[in-house]
Amino acid sequence: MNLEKLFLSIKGLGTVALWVLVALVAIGILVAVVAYANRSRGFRLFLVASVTLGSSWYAFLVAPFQQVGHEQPSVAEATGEIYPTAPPGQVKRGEEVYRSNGCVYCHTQQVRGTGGDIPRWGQRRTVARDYLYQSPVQLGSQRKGPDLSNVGARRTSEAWHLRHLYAPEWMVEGSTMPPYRYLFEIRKVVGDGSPDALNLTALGLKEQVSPNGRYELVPTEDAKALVDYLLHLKAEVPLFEAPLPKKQEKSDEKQNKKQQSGQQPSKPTVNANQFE
Amino acid sequence: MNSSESSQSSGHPEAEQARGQSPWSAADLDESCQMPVLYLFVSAGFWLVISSIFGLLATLKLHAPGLLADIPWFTYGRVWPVFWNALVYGFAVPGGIGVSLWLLARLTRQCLVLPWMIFMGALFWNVGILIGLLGILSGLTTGHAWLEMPHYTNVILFVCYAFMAIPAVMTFVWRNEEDPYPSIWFLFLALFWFPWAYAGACYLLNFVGLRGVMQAVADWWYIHNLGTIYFGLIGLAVLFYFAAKVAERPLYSRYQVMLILWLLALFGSWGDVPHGAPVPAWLPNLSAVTNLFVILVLLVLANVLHRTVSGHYGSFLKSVPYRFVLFGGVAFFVAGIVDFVTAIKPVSTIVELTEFTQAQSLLRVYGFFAMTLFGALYFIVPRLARMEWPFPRLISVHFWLAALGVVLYVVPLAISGIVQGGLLQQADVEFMQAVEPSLIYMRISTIGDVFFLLGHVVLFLNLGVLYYRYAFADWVATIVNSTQPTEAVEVGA
Ligand code: HEC
Repeated sequence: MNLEKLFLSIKGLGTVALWVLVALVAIGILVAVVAYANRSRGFRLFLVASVTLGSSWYAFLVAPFQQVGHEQPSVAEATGEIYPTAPPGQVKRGEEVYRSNGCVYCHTQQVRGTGGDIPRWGQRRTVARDYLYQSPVQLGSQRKGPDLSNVGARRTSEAWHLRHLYAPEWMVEGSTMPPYRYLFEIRKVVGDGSPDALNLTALGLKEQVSPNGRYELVPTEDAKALVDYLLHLKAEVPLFEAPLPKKQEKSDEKQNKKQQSGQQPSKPTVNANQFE
Repeated sequence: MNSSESSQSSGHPEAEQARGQSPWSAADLDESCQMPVLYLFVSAGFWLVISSIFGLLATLKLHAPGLLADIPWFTYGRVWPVFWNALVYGFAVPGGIGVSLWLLARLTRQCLVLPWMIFMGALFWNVGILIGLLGILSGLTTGHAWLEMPHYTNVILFVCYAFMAIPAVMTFVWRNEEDPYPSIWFLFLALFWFPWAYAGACYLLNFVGLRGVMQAVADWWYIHNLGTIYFGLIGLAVLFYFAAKVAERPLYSRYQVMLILWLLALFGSWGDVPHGAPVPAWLPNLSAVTNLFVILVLLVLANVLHRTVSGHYGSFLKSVPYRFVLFGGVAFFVAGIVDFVTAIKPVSTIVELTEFTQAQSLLRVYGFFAMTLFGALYFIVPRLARMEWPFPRLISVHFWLAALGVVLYVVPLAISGIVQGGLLQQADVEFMQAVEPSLIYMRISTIGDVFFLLGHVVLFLNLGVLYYRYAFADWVATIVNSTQPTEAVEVGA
């Protein structure tokens, strides 16, 4: 493998390598001088330790960098569709809201090939390529809430997401997700009111917020961006390294069911089956 | 050695090595550490209280999601990282440095070099932590686990660490001991390990910006190097120190102790990449295989410790600081075995991405490392300050609160993780159905959080009052004396 070419070809890595090298050499010289003066066992220890740390650094950061860092979006043969693509600005802003409010401490964004993840949270497992344009990557380590890699495919209604963010327990019974009411504003209705205003009657909050209809509940730009981000979260396009499994009747059905209950944001005690 | 306390029996680490010539007595050595180390401990105790307040708030929010939910600064996703960062960077890292400094001075029989420099480092370290935690609360988190503090705090912490570590390295280099007690090598390595790993990860994540999942890989690498290696090295150094001290016997085998060091350094730093992660498959496999090797560390360690201490386990129970250390040692083994088992793929499939991982990290960081530090701290502080603890009985109260806290926190969350992971494998179980049975375990673990908080308040009460007496009676007086104008005239003349 041509290391030099690799370093030059990847933006950033060249600088990284340089700095690491400079730092290691500097520390190395320092310790060598000190150790020579002192003939210490510390020097040997230091050397071997730098070699081990250096090799794990290489194995964990440089080698996969080479593998993942070179990865390009895939182009579907039949349609010419490119996946993934750089997200639009509004989605990027939503990603910032997601990061800043720490949604990652309850939600993962990774569908594994095991553990019952696939029928539940996606059509296929997620792979490195799915994350090419995400930053920071919010893989997460705990599922206090559902995985969100495909939430945009599963929950397609913007209104549902807004209501859910405002009052999760109204949309999903027994939800332990915290409400994000600070992403919304209650303000006086001016003229015809805002087109973004939430449907208070559907939320069951009419009485609390505005019994006489003079106030409205409006999402902030942050809330709208966050929902755009959530709707953008889809990892469904088949990839060479992660093809779609053969479609199963059952999972299709389930998908539809979810969709329906997603568009009928009544209290969840009303069974989704009612609408079938 | 003319120290009364360490020259009496041959088992004491200091006595065991008393071959070379040192101009310093144990009292001199302690005095050189006094100012920076006591400060490090008090501030660590302070952050510990802050940390557990936020930890408790975070769990309470899981029971009552509406609690303080309208204040963005106290949303769950900010409170939780504040809890963890205050625990790791506010308490564990500086507490570990404090213990290392004292052990370094004692075991090299060299007075700590440049204590003022260390003190300044510690002072601004705390400023850095404050800025970092406020940054997280105000929404500036980086989004990388264990490195949530905004990028400028990385610089502050790194520089402050250098201020503390450089005098430590100098102390080591100018040591008065040809063949120091093996704990020294662990501390020496740890001194370098933290800045390497921290600077490497921060630089890549917050300054260069890696592409895609490489961010997660870098993050796992860092978490593993800090949590397993750095904390492991310092914790084990303390364990070895106390093993010989308590058993009043030399260490069973120095060679085996060095073997542990090499095994840990060789196999320990190979990351924590979970099996299901969306990365090239060889990465998690490499992690898992090296994780299996870490069991060798446990085997050799068990051998050394048992042969050193056997027959004297009872002595550990005699004094509360020793009990903390014993608890920490046991937790190290439990954590190691759990890591070993969860490196096996079918097991990890169930427990990864559940609360089990949270229990696992806490067991290592708190059950092992923090408990060991508590023991060392309770042992060291009265010697440094040359004062008794203001409330000696509270030490034992803290022990029980902390020990029960760990059990009540870790066990329920681990069970909860297994239950939830198992249920989620079945496609026909709705998500909330899988959450419900685990709620009861979460409730129990909240009792653990309450115990932690109470224990930390008790610790801080003791530390705070002692520090108050120390700093405002003696220390201020010495400063006033030493800055008397007569001396300045003398220097001028
Ligand atoms: C305390 C943990 C917690 C936090 C923090 C949290 N969630 Fe949730 N989330 C949950 C739980 C539990 C559920 C499942 C119940 C429900 O749908 O309300 C959930 C469900 C969801 C769903 C619906 C997923 C589905 O498949 O139905 C979305 C979307 C979501 N959360 C988005 C977010 C966003 C965006 C944030 C950050 C602003 C966030 N969550 C923060 C716990 C959390």
